[in-house]
Amino acid sequence: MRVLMSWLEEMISVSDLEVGNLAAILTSLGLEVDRVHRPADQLEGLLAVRVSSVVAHPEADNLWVCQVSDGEVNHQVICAAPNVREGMAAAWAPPGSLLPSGDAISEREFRGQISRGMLLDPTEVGWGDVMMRREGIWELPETAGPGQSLSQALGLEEAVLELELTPNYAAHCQSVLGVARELSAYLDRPLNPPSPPPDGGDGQAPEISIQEPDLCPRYMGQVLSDVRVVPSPWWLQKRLILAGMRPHNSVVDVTNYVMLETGQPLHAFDFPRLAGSSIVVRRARQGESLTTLDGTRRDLSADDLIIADRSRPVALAGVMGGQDTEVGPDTAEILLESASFDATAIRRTATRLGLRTDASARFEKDLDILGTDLAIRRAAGLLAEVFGARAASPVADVFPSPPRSRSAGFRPERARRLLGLDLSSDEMRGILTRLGCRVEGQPPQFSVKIPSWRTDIAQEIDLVEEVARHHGYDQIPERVPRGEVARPHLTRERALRKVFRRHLLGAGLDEVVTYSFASDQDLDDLRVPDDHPWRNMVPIRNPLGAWQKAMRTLLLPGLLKAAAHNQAREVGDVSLFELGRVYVPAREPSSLPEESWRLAVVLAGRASEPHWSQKERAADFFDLKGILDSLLTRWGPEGSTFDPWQTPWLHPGRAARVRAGGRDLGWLGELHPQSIENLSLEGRVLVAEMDLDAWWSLVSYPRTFTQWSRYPAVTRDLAFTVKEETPVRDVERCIREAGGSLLEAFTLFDVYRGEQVEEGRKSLAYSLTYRSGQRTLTDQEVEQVHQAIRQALAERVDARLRS
Amino acid sequence: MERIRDLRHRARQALSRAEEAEELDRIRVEYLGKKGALTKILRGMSSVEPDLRPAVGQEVNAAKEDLESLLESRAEEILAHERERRLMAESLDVTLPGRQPLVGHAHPLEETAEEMERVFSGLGFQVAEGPEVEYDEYNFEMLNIPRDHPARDMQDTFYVTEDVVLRTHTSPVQIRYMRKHAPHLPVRIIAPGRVYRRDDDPTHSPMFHQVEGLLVDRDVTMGDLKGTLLMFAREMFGPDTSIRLRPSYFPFTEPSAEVDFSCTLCGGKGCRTCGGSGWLEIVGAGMVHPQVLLNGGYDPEEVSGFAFGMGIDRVCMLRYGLDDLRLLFQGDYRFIRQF
Repeated sequence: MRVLMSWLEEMISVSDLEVGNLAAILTSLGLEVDRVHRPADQLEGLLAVRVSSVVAHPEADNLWVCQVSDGEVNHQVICAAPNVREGMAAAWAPPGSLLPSGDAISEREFRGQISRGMLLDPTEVGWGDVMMRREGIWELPETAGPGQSLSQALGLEEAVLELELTPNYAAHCQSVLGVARELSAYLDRPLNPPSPPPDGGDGQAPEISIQEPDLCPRYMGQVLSDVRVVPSPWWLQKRLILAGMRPHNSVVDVTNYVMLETGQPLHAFDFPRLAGSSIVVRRARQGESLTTLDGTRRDLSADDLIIADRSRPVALAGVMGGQDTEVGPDTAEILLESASFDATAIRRTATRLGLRTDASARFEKDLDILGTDLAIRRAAGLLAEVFGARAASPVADVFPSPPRSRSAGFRPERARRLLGLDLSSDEMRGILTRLGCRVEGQPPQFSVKIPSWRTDIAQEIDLVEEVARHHGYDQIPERVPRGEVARPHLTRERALRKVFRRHLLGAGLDEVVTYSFASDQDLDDLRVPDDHPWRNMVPIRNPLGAWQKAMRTLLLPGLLKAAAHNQAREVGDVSLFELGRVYVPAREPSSLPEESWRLAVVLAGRASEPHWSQKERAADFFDLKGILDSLLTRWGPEGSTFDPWQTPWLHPGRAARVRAGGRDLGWLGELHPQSIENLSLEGRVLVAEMDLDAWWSLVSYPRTFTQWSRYPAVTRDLAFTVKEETPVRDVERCIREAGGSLLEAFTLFDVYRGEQVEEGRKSLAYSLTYRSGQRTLTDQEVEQVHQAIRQALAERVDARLRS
Repeated sequence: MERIRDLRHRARQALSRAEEAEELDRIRVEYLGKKGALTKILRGMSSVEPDLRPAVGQEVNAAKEDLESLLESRAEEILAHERERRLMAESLDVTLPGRQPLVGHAHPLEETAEEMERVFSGLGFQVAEGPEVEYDEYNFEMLNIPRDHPARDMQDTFYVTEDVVLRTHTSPVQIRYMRKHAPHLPVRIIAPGRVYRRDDDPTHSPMFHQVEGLLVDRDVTMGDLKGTLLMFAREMFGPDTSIRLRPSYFPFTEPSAEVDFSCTLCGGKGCRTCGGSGWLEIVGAGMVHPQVLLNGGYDPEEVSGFAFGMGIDRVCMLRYGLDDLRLLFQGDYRFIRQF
């Protein structure tokens, strides 16, 4: 909302304060001043001139050669506007001036005639949206003196405050009067609201009936005659423009002016067009429709509150008027409406029709029900004073049940304790009184009568806030909270998340954070089958785009998008991980989805940075598996297995499922070439996604110390061949079982195929470490176990010893 | 005698000229070997006149000892010299680039969140979490935001069903935690996590991150809120940071405040980041509304509390000098590698 300083000054004297200071005061009161506009700044260098002669251009049909006077000399300016005429006051951009758009004005030639600068239309100074629509150049008010700066000629030399109001202040502060009230309370200066006298005409009061008093508790109306629908004088237009509204005509401008001034929206009907000269406030009936002022035909429902005449809807109450009863050039008699509507009803209708207007935005807040009176008198007064209209009826005021004044208890001591502020009860009484409250009683409890315009105040805590706000939040001294401190701050799950994250960063992976959203397209591209459980997603009813139709059930698509994003920018080496949540719909539709933690990893491109000392190598399955191995080795659980796995989105021969303790921990593999193509990726791409909740349930954390063996180890190597199809897992299970407790560790250090190894077999070489926790092992003991392992290998996996 | 001295002299010369171990060996054989020159003299002692024998013997032995010790020291010298030569042959171009271990890049957002958690845990706050897909009831109604409340305009919401939304703030964790914890005191938590609003431009993302704070105890004042946030601001942005509270509106706190920190870039003098004001709007806060305390299971006549919330993304952008929020969620290496 914009507030003009000159308008504010009419209601409270603040001209002694610097504008910046005033803005700071308003901000400290919660009426945040977003910006201070100085409209004159935009018009610097532009002048008002008088057009002293207009002659047709000798060489061009649609151009005029004009002489314009800046009060001292004449300048020749070429102009194409049809409305340029001798004697008019116009806006001139002299050579060397700069338009707000940044365009520099210079001397130019049009078909042999010199033009010194140009005559402006409002669009050229950025006022196209707010001025009345007219053809041609800007016709300045007659009062504009040639040679005056344009801003001076237009009377724009003032500051305009742009306020950003939170919803609680919007009801009582969305007007000049509201802002003045706040300042009056804070500065303790008198408030001078407009106070037009009631002007009751002689005629008959309009017939008004309210059928829905809950939705329309008050409706005031007055008939005015001798109305002239003409453009408003400049001072009135100017105020609307600077406040951000476009002037239209006398009647519309006055209703808008009064809305800006008092916060109460008004409406004017072309009175003779109201059937039966009457107003009925009721709900719309099924099947009724109304063409609103914007020319749109709207089908109404019983939820919509409307203003009707005897036969049909004539306005959407509080939102927009109807076209049939619109005030037009021929209107001579109007019905002014100043009413009070239920905020929620207006909000529903405005939202349902997607029609938010200046009026509905105000009615959506609970407005001052007693404010309708001032507004209608003010509007009638202005129409009479400025445009010569005449009150043709008394003001009708249908107000079935005026509300009793509201009050709330207030304990000064409670305010002191909540705010941590040492403020006397009398000071609090003073603040509340200046805000318009009537404070009765004595501590410990005041009874506070709340002014009608403060619809945001209902209970004690609201009054506490008023005291804090007007005394100043900056007056509250800082204190360190006392009392007991919470226990250790992390849960086991959160601690493990940190541990895993650090591990993955240490392993050289880069962390990403991707959106929680997902779409079927993501899963289609990946080649996830239609009936896969991941397709069952938490839907989003009102997404911003197709990419966020649901919540993800898988982290991977987000990481793959990041990988593709980088590959498209010539970054082919990608090693990413994300720790994040997935969202799995609950079986019961009324329950919340299950949110569980996942880890996803994507590798693509080279396995390491290129280096002069080594050959480049593409990342492969074992780089990815190694990362999972290192996490499993470090944090457990022991006994996890990698089983070959076939699934549509992975390479059929290069994928595995990870299991432990009878649970699926996740899967990994090389992405299927078709998925790679679908996702616009290049090269081989390794992917893994792990279920961290399952994993962590099997992890021992935090760790405790284990004493290591004090006795020496014996290391023996063992090389043998097995059939090509024998998985290493089977071999190692055999070694582990036969090795028993004396076999401390073993490492596969070579896998070999080729010379000296039979066709269809592969050679495996292990280094085995034997050690006991109780004693130094003898050669004999070691040999015995080693022999047992050899024998088991021969018997169980058909191993043939090589050495 | 003369011959002995001469031999000794020549041997010494040869030894000092020798540069390799083999040469030393050859000299040893030549003079001291079984058939060496000095050995021959000793063997031929019988031909020496008896009264000269002791003197000759002495002279020969002295020469032998001298040569042997010289041999030894020369051998050491030559060995050391040879090793030096061998090492020199192993010279590297030390200007070649080294092998860098791969160290992953942590995401600025996660780093910021950890830092914020660290600061608040130092102030005695525990970390709590709640679901991101949340009941309308917890996200709105229990926080004093009924349907049709104008405040719902402030937060354009993603809906899952009529009654389930993507949480628009971390505030529902307040309700969840209080209801689980009541009537125990104190409640002293922060709740970081993802939140969602229907917005998408350089400064708004449909998904972003917040951290919520809640302290409920006996005699908690607005001064405690100010003190806590001031300590946080100084820990996070430096000891010279100051804070400013402005009245604002949140349905679930009253009095409510918007909390500005003095600009982290210009220190309050005014710059582009703070729009010239010297202040940055960072935190929404206030005293927990009595109705919200009731909804959480606490008696507002007995206890009071404060709550605050702030954007982790916003703090992150300030810490790292980012101006486009969407960079955080793209996984672009040109971004990732910088941190």
